[in-house]
Amino acid sequence: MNWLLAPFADDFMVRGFIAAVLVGVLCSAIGTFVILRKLAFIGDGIAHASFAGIVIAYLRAANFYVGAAVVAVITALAIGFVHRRGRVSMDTSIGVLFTGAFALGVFLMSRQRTYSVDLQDFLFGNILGVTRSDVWFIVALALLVGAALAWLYRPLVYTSFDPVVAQASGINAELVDYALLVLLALTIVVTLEAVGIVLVAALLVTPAATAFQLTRRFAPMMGIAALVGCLSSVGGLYLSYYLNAASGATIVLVATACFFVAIALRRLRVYAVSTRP
Amino acid sequence: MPSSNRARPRDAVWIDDLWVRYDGSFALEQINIVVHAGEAVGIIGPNGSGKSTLLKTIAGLLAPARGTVEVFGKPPRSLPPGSIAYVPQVEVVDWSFPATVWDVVAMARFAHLRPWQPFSADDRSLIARALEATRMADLASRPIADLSGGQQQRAFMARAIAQEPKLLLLDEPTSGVDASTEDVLAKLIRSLAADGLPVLMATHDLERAEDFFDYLVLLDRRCITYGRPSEVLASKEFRRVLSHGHHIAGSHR
Repeated sequence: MNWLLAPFADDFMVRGFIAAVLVGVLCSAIGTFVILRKLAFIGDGIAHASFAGIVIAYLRAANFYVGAAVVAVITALAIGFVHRRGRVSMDTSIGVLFTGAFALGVFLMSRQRTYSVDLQDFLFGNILGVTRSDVWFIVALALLVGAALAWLYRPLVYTSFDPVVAQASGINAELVDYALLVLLALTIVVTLEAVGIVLVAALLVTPAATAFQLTRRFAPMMGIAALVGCLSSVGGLYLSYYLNAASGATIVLVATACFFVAIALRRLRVYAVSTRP
Repeated sequence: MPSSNRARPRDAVWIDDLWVRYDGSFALEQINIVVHAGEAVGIIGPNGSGKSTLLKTIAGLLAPARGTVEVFGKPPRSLPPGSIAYVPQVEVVDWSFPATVWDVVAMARFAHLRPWQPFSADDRSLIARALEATRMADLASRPIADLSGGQQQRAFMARAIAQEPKLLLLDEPTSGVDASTEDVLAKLIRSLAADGLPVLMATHDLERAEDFFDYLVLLDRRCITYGRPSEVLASKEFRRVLSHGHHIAGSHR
């Protein structure tokens, strides 16, 4: 049992585990909507764009999360608008806007004399760098996003499956879309420090894609996704501790492994059904 | 039915000089239609004649560029939730969505419930009756990914009924479905109209127009003609639209 508890001897590990569990569950739950609505590229884009906010916050000695959140929410709303009103294709506009915002972040960062380690943490993630106030910030945002997801659960499910009929039946599909984008932006901001900008999309997509292999109903899919996300985060953090590897990458690799195990399980089940006498 | 008389309060759908823009040009021009409670009205016309646009405008999904659409005396978007049920073509959704037939039909009740209000016994019995009426009860627990085209269409129809709408709009529900599904739909639409529900349905299926509808509207961006199905199908306007090389009849399976 000692190896299970050993990591918790350090405060920063305890904070890391709290952050890992919250981020894993939250990302995977909202990730269910992300994959069913095919928003993975948007998630990746929001994550990259928020880097500009982080660097600007750093230069002004403001809170990273606030800077990231402001930029992430603005870009999320901008995409929603382009998606509904724009003439440019979605892929193109995301490709242009988000790489532009990310480049702005890199540009501002490169002009700093002292190349900041803190900022690099956001690119590749450093869940053990989570401070006490970061934990409170993550808890608060996780509660907010979780409560909003629960409140909007039915309209989100309906508009994910059939937005046109949902709208005709009286649901404000446009408002629901924007709300989901804002929640997605906030989730991404919370996740940035844990796994890094480059890998956020994996935590949004992989656990939900894993769950999609294992069930054919929505609510269980969300539950399984949250479980896979939580296991990947905690398992990845343990592994990274003992293998002395980057935490974000290890978490994502564990999730990826879960995905392939799920595919194998599904194949086995199909095989078992087809060969049943 | 279709006429440009001024509104009467009992009209279910009242459309006056409606123009709708779609992708820069007008998809509908100068439409005047009135539908009363209990009438089943078929909308026929060539591909691209604006049938879907008309239904979507009545459903409040598209905004008129000019003119008025009123459903029970109000603009469609200001009706209470659940008033309008719209049955789209089955291809518009992704059927790999993780849900059973029951889950999809149950979505119809969301419009009537608060966010965390559980389904009541009434909700459940409405869902069950909608599944019975569309002969989908045996498939209630089946994942929607496993349905045939006809079953998908009946699931959509069940969802529309379970919503208890005041107005039913259907977009070509009989295209590409089996004969038994077509029978189920025809009987349902007749019995819903007999119970007083106004029904508007876009269709390609002219052979069975008289089984389905009280009236037909022939649409080709404008309202070309309207009347009893037998009259419309025998009219010179109908033959003229046909002779323009437009393909209206597409009921070959």
